Amino acid sequence: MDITIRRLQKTFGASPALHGVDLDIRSGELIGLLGPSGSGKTTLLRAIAGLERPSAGQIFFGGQNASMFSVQERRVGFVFQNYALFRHMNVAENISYGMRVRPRATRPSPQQIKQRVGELLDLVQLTGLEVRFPGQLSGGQRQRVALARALAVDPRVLLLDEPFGALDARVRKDLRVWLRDLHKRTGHTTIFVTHDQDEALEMSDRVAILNRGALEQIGAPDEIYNAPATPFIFQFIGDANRVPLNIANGQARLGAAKLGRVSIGLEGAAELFFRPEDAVIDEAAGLLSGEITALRRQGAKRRADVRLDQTGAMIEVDLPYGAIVYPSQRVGLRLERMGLFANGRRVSFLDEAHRVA
Amino acid sequence: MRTVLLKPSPLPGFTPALGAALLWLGLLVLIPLAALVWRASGLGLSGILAIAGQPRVAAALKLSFGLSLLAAALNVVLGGVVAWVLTRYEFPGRRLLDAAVDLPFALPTAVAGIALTAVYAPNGWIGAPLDALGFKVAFTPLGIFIALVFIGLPFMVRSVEPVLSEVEPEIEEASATLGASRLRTIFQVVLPPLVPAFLTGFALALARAVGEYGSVVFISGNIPFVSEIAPLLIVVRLEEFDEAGATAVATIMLALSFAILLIINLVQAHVRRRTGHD
Repeated sequence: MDITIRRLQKTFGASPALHGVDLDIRSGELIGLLGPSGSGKTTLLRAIAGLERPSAGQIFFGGQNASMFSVQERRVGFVFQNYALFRHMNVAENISYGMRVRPRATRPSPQQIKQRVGELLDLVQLTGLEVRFPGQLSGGQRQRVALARALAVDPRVLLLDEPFGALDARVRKDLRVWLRDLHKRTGHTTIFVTHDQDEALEMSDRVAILNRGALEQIGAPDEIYNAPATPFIFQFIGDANRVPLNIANGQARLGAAKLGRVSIGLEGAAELFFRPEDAVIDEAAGLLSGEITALRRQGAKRRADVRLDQTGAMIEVDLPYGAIVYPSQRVGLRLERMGLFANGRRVSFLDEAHRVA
Repeated sequence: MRTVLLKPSPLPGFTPALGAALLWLGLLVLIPLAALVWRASGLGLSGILAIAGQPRVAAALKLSFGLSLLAAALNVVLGGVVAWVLTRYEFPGRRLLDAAVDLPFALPTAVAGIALTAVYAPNGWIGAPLDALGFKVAFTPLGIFIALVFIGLPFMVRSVEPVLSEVEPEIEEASATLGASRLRTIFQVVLPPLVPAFLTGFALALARAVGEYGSVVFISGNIPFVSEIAPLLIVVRLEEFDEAGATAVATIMLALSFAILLIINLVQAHVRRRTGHD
């Protein structure tokens, strides 16, 4: 089911939680809603489910205005962060609940319900646990029961709120792969909320990034990582160096070094962002240079802190395997990729060869 | 023996703790009750049953246990609603209302009885309009019922409240997203996990109501066969120097109360097992 969101607003008291979000989700997509806490991602998810009433704007389910339907009528599968399983019902009763509460006319027969519960338990790999109670299950198992319960209503859209938030790291990793695989098999349009960028980038077909109640960018994980649309995303996803610079007479300058030409009219302070892996130590580089102040190992990477000669800014640079460097060494720097932002917007260089060499 | 009874446990002090618990329980509960049963045993089982069969005694026992059960049952509804309001809504005066719930605990029961009598008497604030409608409250079983509801309410509220406050609001939302109506959500999702707490509150309110004396004697009018409760009958027998009769009535009350509480406990254990608590 296509989900279309138009100018969605939600205000709690005086503070806006969402202002004017537009989002188009295609049928069968797996969308990750990513953002820091307080960015409005859960509010957006709850609004789609009908658990929050938007202050303004519309949500369409395949062309139908969803605000015409109550929570009960929307047929969404919602998986809560704490699972919200019914403690007094066993696994089979939890999963079949959505089928059992249907009006008599559309309610499946007890045999059909039993069969469907069996299929769903197979799907979430919990066969044999029908008569266990939620209190007797591990966190990962509860999570899967919650998922099976949501799938049992044959939802138009599956909504997951921080689905792995309460699990430990090991189980999380396994479940990510598993859920991705499950999505492939069932094909439900799925939206999940997370504050974990690795989770969002690894699982999603497209990632939507929210910040302070606004959608900042939506795109494939590679697009988000390689071409962040805003300074916020540059710093929120992956590591990034931020170097203040100046634009004067259509020329972006880092201290005395000329980075490249930009449109006339953009004058004053701007910001240059680049990732540590996109800064390369290169003795032949003529434009940027600096002094290594410290060396560190971060997991698989080796990193150097460098003080830029041009502005005195401190930046981080990834070192290639086997690079021989030492503290207080003077180095030349080349930037493979970068993003220039003026007034929070991305600015492109006019000269195509905007690599700094 | 020790090794059979005692699983190894990191908690220290099992022996002194159990010893102290048994000592207090013995001194405060078991010995007085044993003395009661011992005194009554002089009458023999047939003698006790004969006294239970006396019309006045039977009427008092029926009144006491019948009204106590009814009052505890009404408190399930009233206490449930009060606990719901106190835990689910934030409103001005909530703390005040919360504190007021405990007043029936704190008030001397005689004061409560006199206050209730004054309000519900045929010339009282509530009694007068009710009297005009043809309802007599004070000096009837209805008056006793109101007193028993009054003193039982806090037991229900305080039993249910902590459990209710731990119920996650998300389960109601989950039920709604799965298509269940509000009413179905309340009866199938919200209330069932509260059953053990309601049973606890019911047992406490019932036990308190059966033994209640102070607040009832003022509002009941104490008319034999009509509004005379069993605890009062015991006092009446004592005043008549019929110690054996008093002991017999007390023993019967003890046996009945014990049986009812045991049944409630068994039901509760069953419910807990059924919901996978153990």
